[in-house]
Amino acid sequence: MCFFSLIAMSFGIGYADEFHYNNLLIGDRASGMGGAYTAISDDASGLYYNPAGIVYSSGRNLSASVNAYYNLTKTYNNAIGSSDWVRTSSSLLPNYFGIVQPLGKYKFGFSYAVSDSAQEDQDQTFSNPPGMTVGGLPVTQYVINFNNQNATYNVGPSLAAEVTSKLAVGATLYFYQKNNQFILNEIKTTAVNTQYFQNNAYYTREENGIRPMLGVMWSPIDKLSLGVAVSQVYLLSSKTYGQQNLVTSGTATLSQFHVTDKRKYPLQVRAGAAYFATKNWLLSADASYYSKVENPTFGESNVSVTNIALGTEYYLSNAWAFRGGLFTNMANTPAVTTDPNTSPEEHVNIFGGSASISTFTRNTSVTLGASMSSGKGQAHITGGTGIQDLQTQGWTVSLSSTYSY
Amino acid sequence: MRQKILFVFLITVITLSAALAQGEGAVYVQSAKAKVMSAPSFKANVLAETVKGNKLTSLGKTGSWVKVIYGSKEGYISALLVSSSPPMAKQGLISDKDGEISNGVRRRASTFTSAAAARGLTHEDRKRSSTEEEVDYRAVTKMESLTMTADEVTKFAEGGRP
Amino acid sequence: MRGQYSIRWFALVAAVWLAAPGIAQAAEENWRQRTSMGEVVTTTDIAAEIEFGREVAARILGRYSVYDKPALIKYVNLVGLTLAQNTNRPELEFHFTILNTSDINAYAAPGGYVFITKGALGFMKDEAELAGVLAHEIAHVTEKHVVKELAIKGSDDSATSSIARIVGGSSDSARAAFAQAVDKAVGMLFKDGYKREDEAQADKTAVAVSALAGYDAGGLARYLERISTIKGSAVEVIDRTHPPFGARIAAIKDMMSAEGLGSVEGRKSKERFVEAMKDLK
Repeated sequence: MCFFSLIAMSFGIGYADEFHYNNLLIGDRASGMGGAYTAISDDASGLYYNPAGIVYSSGRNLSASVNAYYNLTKTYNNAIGSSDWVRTSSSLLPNYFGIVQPLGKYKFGFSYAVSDSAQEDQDQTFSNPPGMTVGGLPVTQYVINFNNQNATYNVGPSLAAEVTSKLAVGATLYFYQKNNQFILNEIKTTAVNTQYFQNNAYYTREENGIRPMLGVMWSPIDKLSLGVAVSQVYLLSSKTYGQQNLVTSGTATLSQFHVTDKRKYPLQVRAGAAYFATKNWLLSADASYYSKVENPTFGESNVSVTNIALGTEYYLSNAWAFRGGLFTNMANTPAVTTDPNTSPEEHVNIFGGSASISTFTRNTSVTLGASMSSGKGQAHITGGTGIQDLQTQGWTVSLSSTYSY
Repeated sequence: MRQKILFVFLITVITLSAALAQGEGAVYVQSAKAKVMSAPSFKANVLAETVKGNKLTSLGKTGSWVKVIYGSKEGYISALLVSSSPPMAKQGLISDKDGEISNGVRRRASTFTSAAAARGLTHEDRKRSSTEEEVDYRAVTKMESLTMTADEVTKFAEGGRP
Repeated sequence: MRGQYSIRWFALVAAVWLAAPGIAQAAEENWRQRTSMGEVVTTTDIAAEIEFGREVAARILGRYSVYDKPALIKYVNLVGLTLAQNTNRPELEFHFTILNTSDINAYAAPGGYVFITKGALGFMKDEAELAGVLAHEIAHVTEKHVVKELAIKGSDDSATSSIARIVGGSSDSARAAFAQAVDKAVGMLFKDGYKREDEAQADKTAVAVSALAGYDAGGLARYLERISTIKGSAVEVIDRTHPPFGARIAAIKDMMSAEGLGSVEGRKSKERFVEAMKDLK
């Protein structure tokens, strides 16, 4: 039983970017380093990557992403006749806040992270789209507008302890919430007034759960740090509601569904290595593995994904540092096929790079960062058997700050 | 195409950082005068004598000596005489303990250190807080009042009479 | 296939990454610590150090009176300042004075206050020995031994800013912390002594600074040898607060031969010294 095909009509439109796990880079230092932070994690932004690392933070600190702007553009080639269809989503929000506090022999932390966020508003009109008909008549005008919002929140405490001088462990217990809302209107008109098609669909999903994370950090030799963090989302409640009103030439069909099935999330394992070459220079590499997961109620069948990231941080002086990184954001969908019933909507592997520059005073740092990503792949968004080439381009700009006190 | 350019840019930047990180730095002479030796030893020949404030390119440390480039030559200078920041001017106390705001004070983010450093504790406060011993500030002031000019010291160092 | 191209680029970058470093620095204690502004010393830090040292100096002068012979004090200052000119802390103004006691010792407070006892002067034979002892005390100041020892770890790893914090604070807890810190510093001088490594560093630095200032580098060792044979109350404090003389002398001699200082000529200025010591009764 696949409810979602009801909504995906002329265009099988997905709900923001469900098809990748690494959509937003988070954290003052980490986002400049491509997210390769699991073996570093030694400040307030480390709470999200590997809570064990905060054992190595100096004292109390507080880190906040003041503002981040994300923008993603997807271009489906030849989706409407020979025209491309372009979708843009963007988001402007403070996406991270973390605080670390020593507590006796332990370090306590609290953080809030928005790991995914997108807002899409589309409003397009196509005249005489080729191949589109209603009741045998060619469509003279096709209007599509939709609004799609999704956000994923993680908020919760962390605790870390040093086991030996070379080994630390930590845990974070996030409360997880994912909200999704999708509103779609499609209207197809023909030369004859009474022959038209209209689709009004509304869909919302709210998921609440927990996301426990366990982390370990080990330095086998001086200057080398290895880190592993494991986490998984377990939903405690889920409410999915959809409603669709289809009108074809005067005949209306209203359908609704209300599902409380909870999706299964993949197990996430992040492993990283960092080499603290000098006081001025740091190199790190991360690999993140997400297990495969099936949610047949929701028509999802995701493959396992491994993303890698490489990062570097270089201090030009006591007061300035520069960071750079590379990352992947691989598709969690299998390859696109020509079968409209079983093909995933898209399969795009995205690669990106990031850079940031920070300026420091004794107790604070302010960072300006940017990243760019692009991907090429395929999509199957029309009802028929056609496969479209899909390109994605994303960029982000962020401003963040860390304060020690 | 854009993807390629992005990667090339990032690779260049990252390998540049690698090159820059290879240990070159600058050191500044802190002592009034400092000898640049031909080898890392007190027994070596003196190549030159440099003065306070001079910036030298450092090629790394060997024991208690720093290898530097002086003019066109490579030499060694004692690590005790140099530092990685330029020499600071002679410093006095936070003058007028009850109120003046000294220069670097407002720059600090931490509330206790900055503004409070200006307000400071008065001597009476500190005396009250000392639980044990006798203190003699007049003697300290007298000790501070004896100053010599750099010339006097230099003449003495060269063997003159005190 | 375009996807493959991207992967190849990625692999290239990764290879460059792994090949790039040719790092040649010795392992450091805290290798996780990044360069930070916390290491930068500001004028406020220096002022706080001097303010704190002044308090310690006041306590020292509360315990002992000054041996008030202006010409002799001036002489000691000239020797001391000659040495101070050969250190890396030009921002400090060093002040020297003589304590009126037959105890054999010398003291230094942060910020540049150095004290030598009448008793110690009485056992010296030449200016190089005086220089050695003063240089040892100057080294405690330039290497910030007291400041670092009192660093209150926790919220900030920087030693200098924790001193600044307690000097500057005007709350009750800051007052108490300040008094405690001064007590601890005075305890280091009269009871517990500095850390062994700090004493060793002070001895080595003293020999090097004496040599850099043109003095005979063996002065300190000679003086220590002479006073190591003394017993009684005059050496009570120095015995309690310093490592045994034998170990100190051996370490100094090792350092001198390693640095080739045994064969370097240096000033002893014996005549000038004897002339000045005429004031010592």
